[in-house]
Amino acid sequence: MRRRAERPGLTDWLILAGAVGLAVVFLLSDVSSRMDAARTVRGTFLWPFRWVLAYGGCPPDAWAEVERLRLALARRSLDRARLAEAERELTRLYDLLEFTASSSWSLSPLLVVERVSDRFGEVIVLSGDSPEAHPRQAVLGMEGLAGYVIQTRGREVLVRTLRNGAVQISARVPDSRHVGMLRWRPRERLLAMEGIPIQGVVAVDDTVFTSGDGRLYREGLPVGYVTSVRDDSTALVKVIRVRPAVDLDRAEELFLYVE
Amino acid sequence: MRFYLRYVAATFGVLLLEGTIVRRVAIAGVRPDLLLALVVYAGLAGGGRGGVAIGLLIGLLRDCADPERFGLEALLMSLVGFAAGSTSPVVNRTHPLVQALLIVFLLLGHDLARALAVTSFAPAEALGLWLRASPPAALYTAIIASLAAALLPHLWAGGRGRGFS
Repeated sequence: MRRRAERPGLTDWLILAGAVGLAVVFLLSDVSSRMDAARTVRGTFLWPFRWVLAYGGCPPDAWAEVERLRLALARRSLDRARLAEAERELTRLYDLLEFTASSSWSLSPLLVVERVSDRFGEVIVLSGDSPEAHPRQAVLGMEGLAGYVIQTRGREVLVRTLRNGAVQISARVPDSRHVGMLRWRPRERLLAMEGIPIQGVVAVDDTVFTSGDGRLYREGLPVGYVTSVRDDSTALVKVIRVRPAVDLDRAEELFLYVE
Repeated sequence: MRFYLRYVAATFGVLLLEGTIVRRVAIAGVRPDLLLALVVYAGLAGGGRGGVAIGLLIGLLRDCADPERFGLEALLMSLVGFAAGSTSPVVNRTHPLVQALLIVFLLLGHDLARALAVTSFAPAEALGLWLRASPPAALYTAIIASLAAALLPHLWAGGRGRGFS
């Protein structure tokens, strides 16, 4: 210690020059090199410091942290209860549906995780294991047709629902046997079918089914229920309005129709 | 070698303090700069080369918090360590008041240089930044570091309570 109490010698100046040179090299290097250097120094020298702080450090406001953890714990308990309830409900629904694969087709369940919209109307995001999902595949609810797949992204499946102007369904009115195209009318929030012959027999509450002509959906899937029947302005044809069979606002689970 | 081991250990100790306690002892947002004080003491105890070595280490560690200017703190801390080491033969380095004044002076110089670098050498802006933050921090650091030096003479000087000789 006493030895150091002397004027800086050549060695001291050389060491200073080395340190300054090193610092200047860092300062003059490009940003990514500086980031890499910082990462290296942090990983090499600071790991014991980080380790001690991680296990022994105290947050700035301990009571606020306690409160935050309490809330997180409560949220987690509620989530767990909600998930358990959802699982029970799923089991019950599977039992109700006698969820077994038939010889020619089966249903693959997916959960509704998000409702978004494209420029034509509603799109629903489903999530679940669906390796067999592919675009233009029919998606059903428990009550009937819900839409079709437009895209798959990993575990997510995007479904364009009946409440989307881009969806057209070839449908059949059972009594009149008339086949026409159903299309969503956003203002009325109903599906519409036009051009039914004036002599055709259609009544309110009749069920409308897929015709199978469009080759997108198999024949006989319920699409919706007739809510109104009126004559066209020409009085030559009828126009009907149809409410979708699936309550898309409340659906929590939909099914991929797998041939 | 014992000097360097002792100061490396002290560096990590002070880093821990800064990560835990120092933020609690901040007064109106002003925190003591214990790492800079440690570099000054390293320079006083270890001369120019000791000050530069410890300053470089602490500077590099500090630069991790601001990777975009990686190297700036290493440069400034090395210079602080060397400056402290260079003064040790010409001042009474055992005197707490001298130590405190040296800390104040070097911290102000360090902060001014840093403010200039941070503001891309805009003098008015740098001066405003420096005036707002540095004088109170320098004063606070000098008080805290002097108290710590008085309580921990073994650490700073490395002797059996002899302090600096």
